[in-house]
Amino acid sequence: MNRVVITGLGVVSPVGCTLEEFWSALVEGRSAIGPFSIARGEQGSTRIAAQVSRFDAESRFESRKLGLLDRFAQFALSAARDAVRDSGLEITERLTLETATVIGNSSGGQTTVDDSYFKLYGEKSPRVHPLTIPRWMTSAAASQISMDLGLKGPAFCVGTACAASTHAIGLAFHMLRAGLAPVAVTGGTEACLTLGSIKSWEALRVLSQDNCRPFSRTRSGLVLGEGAAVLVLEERAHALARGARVYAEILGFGMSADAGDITASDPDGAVRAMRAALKDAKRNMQDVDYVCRTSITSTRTAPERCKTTGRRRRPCEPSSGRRPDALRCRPARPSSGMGWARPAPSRWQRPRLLSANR
Amino acid sequence: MEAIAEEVRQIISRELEIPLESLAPDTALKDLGVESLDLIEIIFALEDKFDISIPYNANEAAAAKGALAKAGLGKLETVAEIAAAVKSLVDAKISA
Repeated sequence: MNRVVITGLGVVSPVGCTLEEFWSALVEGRSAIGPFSIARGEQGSTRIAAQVSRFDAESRFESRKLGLLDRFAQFALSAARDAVRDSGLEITERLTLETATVIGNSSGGQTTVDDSYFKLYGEKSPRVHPLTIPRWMTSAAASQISMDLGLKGPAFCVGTACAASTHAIGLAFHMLRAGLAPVAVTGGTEACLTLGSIKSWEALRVLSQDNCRPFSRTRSGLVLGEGAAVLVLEERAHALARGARVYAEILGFGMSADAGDITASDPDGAVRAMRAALKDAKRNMQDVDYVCRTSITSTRTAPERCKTTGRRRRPCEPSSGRRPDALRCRPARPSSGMGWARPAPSRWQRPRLLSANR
Repeated sequence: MEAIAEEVRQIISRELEIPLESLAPDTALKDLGVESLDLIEIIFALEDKFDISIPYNANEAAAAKGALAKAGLGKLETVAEIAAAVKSLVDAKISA
């Protein structure tokens, strides 16, 4: 099996749209949660989010191309271009034909949907924009990256809600390890700060109105965010042969499903995923120095009672008796300053951890 | 109060698909197996029916300083408590 390394990083985040800005904001603990501005936002009651405010789409894309790109695809394409540039990779004829593009996304082009439906129902217009569908479909980000960079290998999106970008990167990793592609452009993107989306989250009764503090006993819910992060994964031998800078090697990946509740996560599921990743990596729990808590501590976070003991347990506490600190480390989560960019909060952790290795 | 309480009881009965007779004022919803998602559907139906906004946050349901408490409302655990909260919000709407 091939060894797989990370050789390129690109981000569009609420705390910055370059790796340097992103990293310095993390080091300084700078939060981007605050007032935000969206079309028709006065109809919502939520007043805070982690919005990408310094992203200049006009300077990044020519106007003709921009017409095809919803905000979520703009973020993804921008991060993908930056990641490939960062990797120093030259897209040769072979790489054109074989490079994979795997992008996590769950909401698709929400800005496009919101504007189109407002036109239809609000303004009683008889028609919507002709490019509504190509902008809106969840696969648009992966497709636009593939077209922009000329990548003709497998290109698809993964839409597993807050796990989407983790799943995307995991699938890309397994594809490279199995020899299905020599290089993959992979990550996640989301831009769901629209009135319709925010009203829907408000209806679920899980949005915080003050701040994001996922591990606090007084946490009051999640804060929505937006952005994209993209990695270049590469066969290790391929990367070494071209003298690429290697940020890190991916050793293993594990997945699980709770088969339980649609909004509340079961800590046992996280434990099984972690064990699967360790097994995949052929490593022991004692080999782990750091756990970066990905995703959300569940959409609904009222403590659940353990089915066997009746004892209330916290969202991050597995029921098996082995708590995460059996890994000699404490879980941490980077999104407390960047909001919960729904399918892809987990994407923040990779550029975050890897930037430290630069 | 009686009229509102009765409507609240009927809405809860309809949303949970359980007989009206099984809902007494002191019936606690969690004893009926009501989970968070069921409760927010009940709240949605109540808001629609009475044209009110119930400041319920699933993460703060048990918090003394949660949104409900800030709005001067009690807990939403029993049928009577839910009816009282609805009554209070309807009254506030009328006086406004």
